[in-house]
Amino acid sequence: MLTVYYFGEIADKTGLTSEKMDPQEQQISVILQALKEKYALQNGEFQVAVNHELIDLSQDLKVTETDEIALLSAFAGG
Amino acid sequence: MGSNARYSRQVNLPQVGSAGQQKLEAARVLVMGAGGLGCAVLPYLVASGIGHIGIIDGDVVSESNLHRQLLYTAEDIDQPKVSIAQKKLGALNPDIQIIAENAYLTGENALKTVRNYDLIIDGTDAIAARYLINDACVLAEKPFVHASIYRFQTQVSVFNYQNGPTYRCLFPSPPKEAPSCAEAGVLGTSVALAGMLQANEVMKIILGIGDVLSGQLLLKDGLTNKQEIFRFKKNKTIQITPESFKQEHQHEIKRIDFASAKAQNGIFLDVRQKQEEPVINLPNSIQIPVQQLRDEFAQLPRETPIYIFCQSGKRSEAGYKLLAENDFKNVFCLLENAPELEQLT
Repeated sequence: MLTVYYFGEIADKTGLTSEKMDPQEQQISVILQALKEKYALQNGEFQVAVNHELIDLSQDLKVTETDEIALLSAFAGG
Repeated sequence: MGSNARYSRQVNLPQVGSAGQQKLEAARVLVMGAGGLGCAVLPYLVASGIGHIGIIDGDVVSESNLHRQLLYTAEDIDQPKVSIAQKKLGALNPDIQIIAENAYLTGENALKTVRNYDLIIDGTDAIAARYLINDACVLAEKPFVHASIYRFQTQVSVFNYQNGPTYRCLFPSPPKEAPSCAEAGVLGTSVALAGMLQANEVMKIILGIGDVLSGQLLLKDGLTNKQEIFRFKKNKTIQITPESFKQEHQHEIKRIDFASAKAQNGIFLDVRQKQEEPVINLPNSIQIPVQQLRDEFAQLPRETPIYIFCQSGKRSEAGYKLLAENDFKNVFCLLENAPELEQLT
């Protein structure tokens, strides 16, 4: 089971701070597409980190079940 | 100044010493925003003996600031924040220079302001200002220390440090919307935590000690006390140039009168809410409230002239800025707004 973590406004939209997933596909693009559809998230609204490293979304890497995915968004407040 | 009793406790640190104190005295630091973050950061920078501190903010003190902006009291309400901050901080440490500028940061003044300092602190509370600071710092080759807050969560990072990654390497373009503290709500303690992390980075950068949060986003959750660091690299495809800066941050508003606009082949854009009076019926017109404009770009032509109006001209300027930032080439604010247009049509 891989774990997806949500922060800031993304966590408000998903209603969760994290969840376990057992995806059939290990391509990050497929996982992200499923999350976007599930939670009505927009492109450009978040960045993605795998194991605490920000990833380049144009390179479709594979994740394994011990990986941690994080969806990060910009905060405005100060 | 020098190694007097005031600084003895920090000078006693082997990592600081009198050489470190001299670095602090020589440093020139600009704090952008004298709100929640600014009020948390500033007293510590001032007390540490940083020799030159600039503060820029165009806001006045409001009652709703007082729970987290502890430089201000009820007596200061409606006074310019920077004047009060300068006075109180001056009392905290009379040995240093504090320069206050009662202005908002704009595309016009940002570069000039940034160039007078070695290190910039982003204490603003709007996404657009954060991109403006980033782009100005990149052009002026200045590092800046970022902190931002969403409810109980804080992000802190140091951008453009020794040619390192910038804010745009982390978040390439502004999100559609990101709520400010006024909109999302915030505890004073959350802003203070963010400000302390920020001030701590400032000290390390000036003193040249420890690991600076360059290429690292520190994310702290005040509710769970969890703290994580995400790493990111410089994105070399992102280029900030004087031209891109001008395009994105300097919008000299083009204006046109109704008679001239009517004689040309364009569309009129009413950015008021649907129910607002007077109703203006113009040929080739479209009504999209300014709050929804960003979602309705597809309805608007990219090349054909667009003439924007509202009730007073304020929302039409906001609409103008949004369209100009999003590559609409031929946008004008009408000199006349709904009350005048009603007379003319």
